Amino acid sequence: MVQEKSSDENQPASVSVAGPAPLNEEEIQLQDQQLRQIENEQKKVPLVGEKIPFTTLLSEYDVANAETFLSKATELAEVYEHMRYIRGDGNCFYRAVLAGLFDIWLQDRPRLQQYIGIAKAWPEELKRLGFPDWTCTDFCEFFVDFLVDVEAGAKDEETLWEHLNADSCANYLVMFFRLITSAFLKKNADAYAPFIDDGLTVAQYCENEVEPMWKDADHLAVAGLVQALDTRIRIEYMDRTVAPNGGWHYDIPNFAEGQGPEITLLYRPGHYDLIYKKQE
Amino acid sequence: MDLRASTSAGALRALSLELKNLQSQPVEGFTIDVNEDNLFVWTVGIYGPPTTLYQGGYFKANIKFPSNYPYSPPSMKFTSKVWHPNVYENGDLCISILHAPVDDPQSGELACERWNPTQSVRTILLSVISLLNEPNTSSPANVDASVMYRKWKEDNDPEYAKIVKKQVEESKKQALKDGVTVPETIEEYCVKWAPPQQDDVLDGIDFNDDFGYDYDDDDDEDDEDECGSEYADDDEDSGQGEN
Repeated sequence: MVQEKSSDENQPASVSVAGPAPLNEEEIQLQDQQLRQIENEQKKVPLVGEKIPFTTLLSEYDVANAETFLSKATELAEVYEHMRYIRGDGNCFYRAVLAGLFDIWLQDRPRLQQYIGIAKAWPEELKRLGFPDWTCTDFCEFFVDFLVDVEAGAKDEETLWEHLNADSCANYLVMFFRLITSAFLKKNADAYAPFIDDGLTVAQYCENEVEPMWKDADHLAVAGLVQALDTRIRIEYMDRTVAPNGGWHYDIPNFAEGQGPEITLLYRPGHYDLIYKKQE
Repeated sequence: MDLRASTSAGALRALSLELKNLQSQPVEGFTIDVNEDNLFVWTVGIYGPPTTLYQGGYFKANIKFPSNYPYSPPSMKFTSKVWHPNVYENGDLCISILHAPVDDPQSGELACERWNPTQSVRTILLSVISLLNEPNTSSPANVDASVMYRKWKEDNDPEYAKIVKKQVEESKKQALKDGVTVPETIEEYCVKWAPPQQDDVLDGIDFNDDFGYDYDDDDDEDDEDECGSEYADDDEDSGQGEN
């Protein structure tokens, strides 16, 4: 079949380029260095930005270069009033959900109590699913303690947002989200296995893509977290695809019309920010 | 308090928790020495497991933690001489659990156990012990040692064992200097403490078979085997290690 250039794909097994070589130490160091540079760039944006008018988004685009984006942003501005920029460090989906929940927790005490209940149930579940007991329990306890503090009013609102912007605290909370996302997917492995490529199992996928920090969430992780938290989110998609009037949006899980999402995110290729609807 | 300045606060918290945990429930076969002033560098002493080539040996290594630990992995470097397929000439240990996950789906290491924050010093040390006995020759850091190891394993060529045993003898000087008695029998080697009760349910689950409290001596197989199988068709040399 492919006679004329039997290059890469058709190497006989004896030629030693058969497998990809793992990185050597020098390459790893170079990679680390590049990662640090990216990290420094990212750090110019706070982990979670202030609540700003949604129309700020319009200033990112101009007619000449990004007409589709501009018109979509303009359409969305009819519906959405505020937004928070989230740092693009690979945790943006998890962090945007976290920030969205903060707003709910601060305003809706009974809902906060429900979330405490949900969070408290996870350590046992993680244990049952075979997660490393000791490290995981620590992330869970940290998260539960944090919510209990919020409920007790031990920290005022300003302090809470400061915590959400402090790596040491915020990343522990994000890590809890990653763990329960992974746990939900592993628990429902049969349902999710068909969506995973590369011959990986659900468990391997989770260990490679969900549990490590700074790995972007794809649609599986999105579905996993939303269900693990028993919340409802809407994602407004803003890309170059042709969309029906008003643009694409996805509700996860599919909730009834009357119910509405708890949190709404804006998705632009590779990144999530948190957005807020206009009050009717 | 300016929370934003305290990037490493999370790391310090995690490290002091881990240290406390390891002090109350030690990993057998290891000594851990930490200067409380700098929790980011640990010195560990590794006892060669009895009934292996390494029996009687005492190998020292430093574990260095990044400021964003546990999100990024620590690195481990032997300060004692260690002739081993997965240890570079300069002592750096090359093992998948110490590598951050990469985005490249083509990487052969994808399915191996890479670092993620559910790992800990405990899981690293357990992996090191199993790696000592069962080198991962499919991605060698020291190609010469790897070839020698294979010749020893497959053709009974004595060279590999000879070098390791010589290093074991050398390491005894360090043990003497540190005032350490190296355990030579299984009984001495096993740490005497009662493992905490755990649910039997956990035993049936295989996707995380090296979590914290798995101390069975003969339970040597773990992720390294999986690593090896990933490279099954890339038979001889991965081209790594010389540069």
